[in-house]
Amino acid sequence: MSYGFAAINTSGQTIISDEMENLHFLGKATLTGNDGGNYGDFPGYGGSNDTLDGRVIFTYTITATAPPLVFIKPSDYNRWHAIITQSNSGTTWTFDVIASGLSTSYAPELFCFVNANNTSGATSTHGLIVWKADGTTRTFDSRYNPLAISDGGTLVPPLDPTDGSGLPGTTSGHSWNYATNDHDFRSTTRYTSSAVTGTYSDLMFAAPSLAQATYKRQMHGHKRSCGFLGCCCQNHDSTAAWWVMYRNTFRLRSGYMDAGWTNYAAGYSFSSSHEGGGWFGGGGGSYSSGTMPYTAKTINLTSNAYIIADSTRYG
Amino acid sequence: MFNYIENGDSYIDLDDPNYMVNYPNVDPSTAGNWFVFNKQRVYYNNGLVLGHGGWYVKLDGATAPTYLGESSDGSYTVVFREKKGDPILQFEGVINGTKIEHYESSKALRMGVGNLLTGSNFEEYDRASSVNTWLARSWIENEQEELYFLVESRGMLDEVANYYSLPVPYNDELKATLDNNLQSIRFKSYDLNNAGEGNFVAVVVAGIVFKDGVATMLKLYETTRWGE
Repeated sequence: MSYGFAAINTSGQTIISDEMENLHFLGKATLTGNDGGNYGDFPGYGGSNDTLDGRVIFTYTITATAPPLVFIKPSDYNRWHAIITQSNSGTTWTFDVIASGLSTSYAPELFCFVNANNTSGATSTHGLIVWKADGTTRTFDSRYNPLAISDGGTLVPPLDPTDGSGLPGTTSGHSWNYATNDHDFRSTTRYTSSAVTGTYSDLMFAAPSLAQATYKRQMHGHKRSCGFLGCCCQNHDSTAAWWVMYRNTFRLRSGYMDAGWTNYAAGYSFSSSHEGGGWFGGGGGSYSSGTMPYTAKTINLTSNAYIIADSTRYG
Repeated sequence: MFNYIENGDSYIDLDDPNYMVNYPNVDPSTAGNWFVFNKQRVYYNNGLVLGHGGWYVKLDGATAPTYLGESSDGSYTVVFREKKGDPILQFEGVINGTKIEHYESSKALRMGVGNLLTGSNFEEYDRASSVNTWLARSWIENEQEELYFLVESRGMLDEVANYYSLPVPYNDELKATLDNNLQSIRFKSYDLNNAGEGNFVAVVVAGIVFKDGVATMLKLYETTRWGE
């Protein structure tokens, strides 16, 4: 480098330069609402193993002239969070954040960062601004709080998001109309961890929620009854199915960053039919309530880079 | 046999001497007949038969079964066919080839059979308080509705009849059956109480017909099977 500016720490790492654009605090996204919470249990089902973790979708917006990097600072560190959708219309950016549980009272805060050249509005007349060689593009501007990352690493959630023993599957041989779920679809114990430092209640994280999973427990019931001398047998069939779709979510707690799962949607379907007929009888066919987004599996299961920062630096 | 359905003589009842003669060898003289499997009669007004029908099969191994019936006065015939949408009552009745009788299972039946929480128990209707379990509703557009309930005793039928000021649907013979062998006329056995096999509920069905919101008829549905 024959000219320019560079700030290098004692480990030889470049902190500020005229070539590298630093991220700066843009502001907190505005909470615009939530969906009221859902899926604390299987919709339409009233039997055993009905309970799910539940989730609330909070929606936020912020104005930015460039894609912001968003950190989640939980208001309740017992809950799991992730950004599940991000979109923009012009300079208005919208984020949907999933939070575990059913309470709408614990909306997290979203701290948004953009590169220095996309910040504006500061009136301070003192500080340090670093431009690129073009003389117009700011790479650093001390009037805005630059992002300081305190920790980071990679995490991948477990393959199986369910607390129940073994992957849920499909079984036959049940009695006709058997419709009792035997699998625990909650995700309370399903996570992996990585050590972090700092006062966890001050920390916030940014991590992509890439992994998704859908799992289903399905039971086929059957009964066959026959008439005169074994003639004219009557088949009775039933199908009961419980399914849950999960998103990879994260949790900060004392000493650890966790990657786990939160149920995003769920459904229960049941169908009972038998050969027979006449008034108040008979028929076949099928019935379902809710449709799984894809066949049962986990997708996008890969290590997610996460970064952590101290939220108290930013107002 | 049927009186108003085409080729009614070829439908053989359980008590007919030609019922599956020589079975499992198929007798050529009856091979083309339909044999009833589940036979149903509908009673009203002190035991009059409103209609009858059932599930009929042929023994050729190729013809699909049929589900049909007719009214005693010949005013209608009905053919039942598959209709998806309801989790349990997956059929509809086609009356005289034109009108449709639709069926909807109740929340109680869905819960009892499949642990489903969907549906309703038809609370908006004038329901007799002596009934514990409402099973279903049917309707024919612009004509009538019917609420079906679980008959737990003959006394319950009496109370329902009294509530709506309608005649009971049974005669002396049926009264004896209701008092002494109620389960013998069950439509089906369901584990409504989640009590496991051996403790299924014999679902005996009665229905109240409403026209313009007024109860006009109390029906009893009898299902009989070979050997019972």
